[in-house]
Amino acid sequence: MRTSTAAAAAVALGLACIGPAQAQETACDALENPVYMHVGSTVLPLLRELGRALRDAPDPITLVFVDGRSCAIMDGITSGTPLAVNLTYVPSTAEDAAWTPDMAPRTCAIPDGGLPVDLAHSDIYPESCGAGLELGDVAVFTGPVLPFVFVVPPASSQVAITAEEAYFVWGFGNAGRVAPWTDEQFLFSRPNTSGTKITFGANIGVPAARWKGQQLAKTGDVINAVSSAVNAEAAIGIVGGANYDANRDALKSLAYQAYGQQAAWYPDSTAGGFDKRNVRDGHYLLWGPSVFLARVDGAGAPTNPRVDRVLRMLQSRAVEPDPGFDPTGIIVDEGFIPDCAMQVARDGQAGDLRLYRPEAPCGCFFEARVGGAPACAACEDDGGCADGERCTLGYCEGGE
Amino acid sequence: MRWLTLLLAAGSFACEGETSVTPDAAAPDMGVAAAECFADPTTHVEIINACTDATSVSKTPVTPLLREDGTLPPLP
Repeated sequence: MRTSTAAAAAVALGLACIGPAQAQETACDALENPVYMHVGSTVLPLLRELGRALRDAPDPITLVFVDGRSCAIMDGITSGTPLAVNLTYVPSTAEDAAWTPDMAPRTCAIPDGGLPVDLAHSDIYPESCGAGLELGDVAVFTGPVLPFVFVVPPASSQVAITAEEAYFVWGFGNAGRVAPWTDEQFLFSRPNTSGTKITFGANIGVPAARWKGQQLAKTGDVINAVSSAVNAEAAIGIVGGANYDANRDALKSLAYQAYGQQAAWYPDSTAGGFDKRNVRDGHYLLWGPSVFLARVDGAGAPTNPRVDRVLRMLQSRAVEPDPGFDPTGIIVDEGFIPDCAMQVARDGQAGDLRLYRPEAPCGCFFEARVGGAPACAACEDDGGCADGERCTLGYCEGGE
Repeated sequence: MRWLTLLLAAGSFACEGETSVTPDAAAPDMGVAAAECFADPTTHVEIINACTDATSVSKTPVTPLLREDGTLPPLP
């Protein structure tokens, strides 16, 4: 899904997924073992891949989802507001062998009264939406890290942006006088409740409500607006890294120089790479963990066992019974970074970085998955590793 | 001394009128030069400026509204 076109992405992001030609619409609550999800658009590419694998698994689960904006999503699950629009799901191979994850998911119809949200996803923590969100019996779970990127059209000559430039571009608009981004009609962002926008805002020091430029409803709208801008040099937008990875033929990412840095860096170690090395080691600061919310029991465990299973996969934790596929590999393939592959951590949406050592590191697995040459021995179990190391996802990790 | 060098390097681009390179003159560079990076980082500033062989981009932006002392003005 790394080289699809912007048009295909727009379809896959849901812009054209509900068509009148669908004669028979499946009832969402008739799907096999459904988990109803309300999610940010940054996670849609991952859900399409994971959704297919889950539907084809020996113990199938159907992810039934629709995208929204992070703050509204979190408000919805905590307040118990049912989903009131038709949802989407991925067909199993038995249902549609020709379907691929860069195609639009299928739609299903919701019953009168809507459907409850089982699992919500946000790009930001609840506190980033301001005061007033009562979690109640809903708990927050952190998932894989997602980079965010400033993007320009491929025809743009720009290659980097500093935090100071971004402050003036987005906070002052035309008056910021930072060439070539001096025309607000070519500054493309998201609504103020978008987790993507709030994440960028926290990093550059411009609260979401203070941004200049165009507010576009969906990530796919930003991709289309940037890639088709009539003034390529003046155009700039913000997207999630997974969305950028899926549309690299239509967009160019800018290296980003954070406050206090000496140079600008890409999420990857090179402009064309996929290794996310600069995110993992702290050189690239536009990132945050995926945030998931679910109802829990008194011990903090999800009350819905299917939600617990999906969450475990999204957090790269052990899953029993074996799903028959590699969830962490899918996470990596879709541009996310499992927590176990991170070497730095941060508190809050844009807090300072600190060194981080995961309980069960998987950096070598990650590097191998993205085509690198891991500096660890391959293994089948802990017995094949040196003292102090553990066999994690096929590699001896955790040694000094 | 290294800390002072870092602060000067981080802040040097921020002085109005001091820059003469346009933003599109940014050029890819191969990593941070050894004299400007931290080989064994522990703090936030050291981590984000740690030595690496990853591709970096050196940029001297023109930001006319930046204050003379290098600080940002409040948002309008």
